[in-house]
Amino acid sequence: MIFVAPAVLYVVIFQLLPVAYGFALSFTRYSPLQRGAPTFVGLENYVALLGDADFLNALWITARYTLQVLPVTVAIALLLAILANRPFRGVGIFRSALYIPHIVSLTAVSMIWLWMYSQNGLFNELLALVDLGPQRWLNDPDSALNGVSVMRVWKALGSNMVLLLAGLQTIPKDLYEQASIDGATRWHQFRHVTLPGLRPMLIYVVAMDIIYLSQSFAEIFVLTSGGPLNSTTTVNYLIYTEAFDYSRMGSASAMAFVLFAFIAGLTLIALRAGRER
Amino acid sequence: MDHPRRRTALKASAALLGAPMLLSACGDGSSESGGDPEGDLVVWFPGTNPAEQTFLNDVLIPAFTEATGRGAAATFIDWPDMSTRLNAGFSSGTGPDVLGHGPAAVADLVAFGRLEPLDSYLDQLEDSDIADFQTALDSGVVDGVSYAFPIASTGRQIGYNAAHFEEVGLDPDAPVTTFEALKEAADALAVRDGDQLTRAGVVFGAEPASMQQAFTTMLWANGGEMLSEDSSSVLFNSPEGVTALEWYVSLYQGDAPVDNGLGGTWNGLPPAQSPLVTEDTSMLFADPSTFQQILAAAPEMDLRFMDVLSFEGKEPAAFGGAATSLMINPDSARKDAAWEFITLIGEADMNNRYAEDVGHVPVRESAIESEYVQNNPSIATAVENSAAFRSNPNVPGWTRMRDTLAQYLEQALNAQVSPQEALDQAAAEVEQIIAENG
Repeated sequence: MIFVAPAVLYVVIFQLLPVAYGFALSFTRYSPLQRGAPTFVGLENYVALLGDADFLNALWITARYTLQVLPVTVAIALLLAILANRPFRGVGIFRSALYIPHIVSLTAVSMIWLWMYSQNGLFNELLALVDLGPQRWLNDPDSALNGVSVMRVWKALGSNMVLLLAGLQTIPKDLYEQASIDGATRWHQFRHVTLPGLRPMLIYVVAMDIIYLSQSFAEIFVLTSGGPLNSTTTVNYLIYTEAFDYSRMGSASAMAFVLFAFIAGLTLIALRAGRER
Repeated sequence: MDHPRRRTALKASAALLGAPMLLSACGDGSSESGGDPEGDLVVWFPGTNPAEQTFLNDVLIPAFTEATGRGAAATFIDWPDMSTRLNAGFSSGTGPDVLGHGPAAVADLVAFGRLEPLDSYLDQLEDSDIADFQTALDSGVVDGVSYAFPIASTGRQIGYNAAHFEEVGLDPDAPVTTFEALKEAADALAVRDGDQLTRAGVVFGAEPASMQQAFTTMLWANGGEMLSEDSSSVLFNSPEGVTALEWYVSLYQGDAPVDNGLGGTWNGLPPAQSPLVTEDTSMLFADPSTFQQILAAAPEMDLRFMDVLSFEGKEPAAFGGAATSLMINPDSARKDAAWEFITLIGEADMNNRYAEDVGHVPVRESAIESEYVQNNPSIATAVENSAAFRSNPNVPGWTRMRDTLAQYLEQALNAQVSPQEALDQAAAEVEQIIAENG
């Protein structure tokens, strides 16, 4: 017991208690500036969220962002992992180059993409080379979320690729040899050997991506500040403004726990879908 | 039964409690700043501008130490993080003695009793001093009481590229004075390729706070008001407000838009990528500090500045007033020292030097005579027009009101709703925020 006490204390003090405190706050009206204790308001904050158009919009944006980035990231990362799993000259450099975006700060990366998306940025310069007019990548409500998504796909590829590569390397080579002897085509090998062998890692990658993407904040903060017309306001960004711009901790905590339920729901769906039948 | 061990413990406790009391009663325990206890003054300063940090650490704090015999420790906090840090500091009882912030934060801090009233301190100043920074001082007044001491001013103005004016036959020496004429000039300056603007005539800020500041400027310049005098009801959806917003919308919509910056994020970009520097616009609505940075990025540009505009037949007015302001934490044990620190940076010479080192507008109107102001046209225009600058209402819940209004302004600018609908819907929500903040 004494040996696990430090770990237990750490989990209780730094993880469980803050979560419990946050949950308790979600039933109160509280500003960190106030001198008195939080005022208990029951389910008022949760009920208010049901009719809060900004929150419902943010929930939709979060779902859309997660569901449009996730499949693209996983599919491209899988393709790159299969490529990186082949022996060729420079494979180490290839793997490292793809992993580099993952180790660079998301905020720094977002700043660079902000410049690339600007009126005179790289993307519009490339369009100009083929005589196309400049696009309002992040300024148009119809394209802003897609612009942020492209950046996030690029950022997430490296880590997903490395995880999937590790998964690929656990698949015994002799399975491919046997399949080949049995006359399986490349596609059949991929369908019946690679995918089943990769299933645990794929499920892990999908679950972790859902968790990370649903909590997106830094790239939204830097690239669009939630605009234009709230077209990129995710729940996490809304929580930030509610808590720190407006000092409404109770309402922000309620949003955080609805987001938690949303992420848990999406993750469970992914886990059930990936379960072996 | 007597317990010798308990008696010893009681004696020890009494000694521990009594010693500091005795020391504080007999000894000085205080420094030169009134009866304040010893120790460095803790200052939380908004912004991480290196020039500002150098000024505070190398000029202001040494001067403060020389004057008072007390040190001061300044922590520089990024503007967007300031409210977060203050929330944490106040709720944990570790707030600073002196805090800096913008006027938008003042009313909420006052509502929670987090700012010391400054009226009794201001009474110690000469009348001429007060008159010298009256415009900016008004930005820190809540319910008739001063809570914030301005150390820099700001004001929105139109900066224009004189070469572009000449190019299209406009006289750069006779800039426009009304919003109606500004639209005509923008129309003449805009360059189009088919239905696409390749060079905007004018660009206004497109993030929420900038949109609100632009609209409020137009509203005031058209004789309208944001809120009633007692701040209990909304007035911005008046006919003056609707006309002002219709003018604002006309920049982006209709047959000949003149501003393509809607939804843009140019104010998050480095100065060298400002649309004025890249010549993607001929005119820009911004603040003097931004224009100073633009001039540094494009020193060859003949950049000039208009006086504050009005709608025809109305009085000129624009968003402005205090920029950075300093306040005192009412829980501070060093309030007198805090006030000495604040008055030091407000002194004419010190404030002019601060403005010059950092590129701000000095807070005193008398600074118009200074070499720094005379040599910097954007700063000079701001100081000359200081009487026309007005600050946002100082009411609790202001940041929510501002963002709510901005949200509907953005919808109107994107032609999703009419100006009247946008302002009416915004007014309904803002009335609700006013009611919540009672």
